[in-house]
Amino acid sequence: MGSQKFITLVAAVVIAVGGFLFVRGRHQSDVLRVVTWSNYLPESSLAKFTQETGIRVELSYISSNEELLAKLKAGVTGYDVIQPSDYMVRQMVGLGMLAPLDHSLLKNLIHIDSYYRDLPYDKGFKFSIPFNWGTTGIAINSEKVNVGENVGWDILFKSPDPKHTSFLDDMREVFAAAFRRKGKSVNSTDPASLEEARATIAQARSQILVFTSEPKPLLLSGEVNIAHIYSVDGLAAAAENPKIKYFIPKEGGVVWTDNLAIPKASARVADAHRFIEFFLDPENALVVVKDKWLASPNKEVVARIPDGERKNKGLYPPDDVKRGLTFLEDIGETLLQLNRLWTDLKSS
Amino acid sequence: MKRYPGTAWFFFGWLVILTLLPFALILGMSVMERTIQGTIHFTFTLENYLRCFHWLYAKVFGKTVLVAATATFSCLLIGFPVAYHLARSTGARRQVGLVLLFIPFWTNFILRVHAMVSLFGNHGLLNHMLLELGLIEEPIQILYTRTGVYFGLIYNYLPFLVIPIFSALEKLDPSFREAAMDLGANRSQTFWRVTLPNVREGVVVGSLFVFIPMLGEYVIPDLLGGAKEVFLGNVMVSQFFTMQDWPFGAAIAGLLSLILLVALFMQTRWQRRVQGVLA
Repeated sequence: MGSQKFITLVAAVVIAVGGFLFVRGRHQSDVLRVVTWSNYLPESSLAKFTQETGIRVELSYISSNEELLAKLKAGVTGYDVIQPSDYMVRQMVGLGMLAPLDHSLLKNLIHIDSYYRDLPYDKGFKFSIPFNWGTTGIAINSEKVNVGENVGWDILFKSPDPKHTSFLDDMREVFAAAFRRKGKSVNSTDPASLEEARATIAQARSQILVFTSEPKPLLLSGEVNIAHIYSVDGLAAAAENPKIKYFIPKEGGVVWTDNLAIPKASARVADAHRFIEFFLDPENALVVVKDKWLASPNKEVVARIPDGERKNKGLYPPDDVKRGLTFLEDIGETLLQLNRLWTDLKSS
Repeated sequence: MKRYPGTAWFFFGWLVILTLLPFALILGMSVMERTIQGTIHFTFTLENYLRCFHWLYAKVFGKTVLVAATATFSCLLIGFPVAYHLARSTGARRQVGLVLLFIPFWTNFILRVHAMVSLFGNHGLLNHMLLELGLIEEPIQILYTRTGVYFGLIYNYLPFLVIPIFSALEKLDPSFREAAMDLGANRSQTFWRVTLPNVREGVVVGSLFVFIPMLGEYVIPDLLGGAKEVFLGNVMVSQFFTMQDWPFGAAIAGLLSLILLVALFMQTRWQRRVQGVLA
């Protein structure tokens, strides 16, 4: 190999390896690296945190829980605080990815309502603190579709206006809806329930307009009149167009949380605790939920929000509705079966 | 040993690190076990490949190939005349044509697909115009249908097919056509028996350039097809993300690559034989 060839080969290797090290090297810097959803943590709150603690924060964004998990699994390190949803906390705990929380550093935990103290995916806040929560339900445009009171999941599966109906493009959520429609648990695993749900979804699929995880713009543009939707999007759409209503179907549905957690690989565990403690403080937690249509598990926040929001049944469902809500739990090997059914019904 | 210039070595190093190495990782992963938590266990297994032969995935594979082939053929029907026209035009006309062909690529792929969503929706520009003109009474449902998927595929991949055909046509010596005409061939005979055989390689390359990436396409079926159907790309992505089953996703990717390699190999051999016969 001539020297010129050798030099260019080395150059290629150096550029590739150097690029890799550069990306890694940035993680070593002197900031607290927080992974969050876009439009979630207000700039003003972060500035206040830095002012109070002297800790600088660098945000990176994810668009799905799976993306976060894939990044951590692929060996991306240097994240100090992450924001996984409930089911993702469970998976990450199973994979040993999360650092145990030191409750002595989290005095503000006392503000969390007792309902959220023993959540099925992480009993007793061992690895995660619920940050905000919401539900999965239905939004309808009452100007276009007339539905009575006490509406159930049938409005999706036997939609009066299927050409303007959307389902979430989320296997677990769609199966959960089909299960609840028949009064079954959202976490059903028995073959009869699975088959029944598959048939229901398959039949609806050939008639509805679209599977999408972002139905809000379609609802607002009039492309969709009945949407399977997360409360945060449904309520935001309702705020923009008063004809749109978000509700939890009568059979009950799915409840979810966004959580704060610390990856085991974090080198700044103490600072990460200070960050979590900061956002457990009612004043700071209040700023986060303001105008976001997220519900807070923090008693003091709920006490301080405007009356209109607290009394919004879609945002803070009354106790009897709340009892009908369930978390999507670990269903073990049934998940593989669910995925085959999902692929099957979408490929026929 | 043949002497390669420095740039070739640079490209070689680049290829090894950024193409072959990741591909080797995928292949390695595809023969490992997945635990129920979604981690990868370093035990050799062919289980992931065996799972690919489930009728369900065969069905998805068949459908994907069919859709990709139909879209490729449609691209060819539209793209060949475009390339032919561009190759025969000169000066400003050609420049403008080429620029127009590439202008969409100044915009990000995802944005282009989203633009199509707002173009084809029931309240979109197209339906709005047709309704205003009184040409239709009801909006035409293109968005969130198979037709929408075809529109998306053809529109986004067309330039990749036009360019190789264009450059093959451009290189074709005009005297070939003139000779054929002088010897009494009519226009259609000249085209089928002189022009087309001489640019066959451009046609094959262009078709492969669009067909192969279409096999792994998942954004267009999701956004323009409304995620009502799954194609091979969607199955792979869902194994990596939703299911956290990287080994199985890797096995599907590996198998697809294998099928493509075999197809390319056979195509090359076939082409050599044809050339041998002709020579």
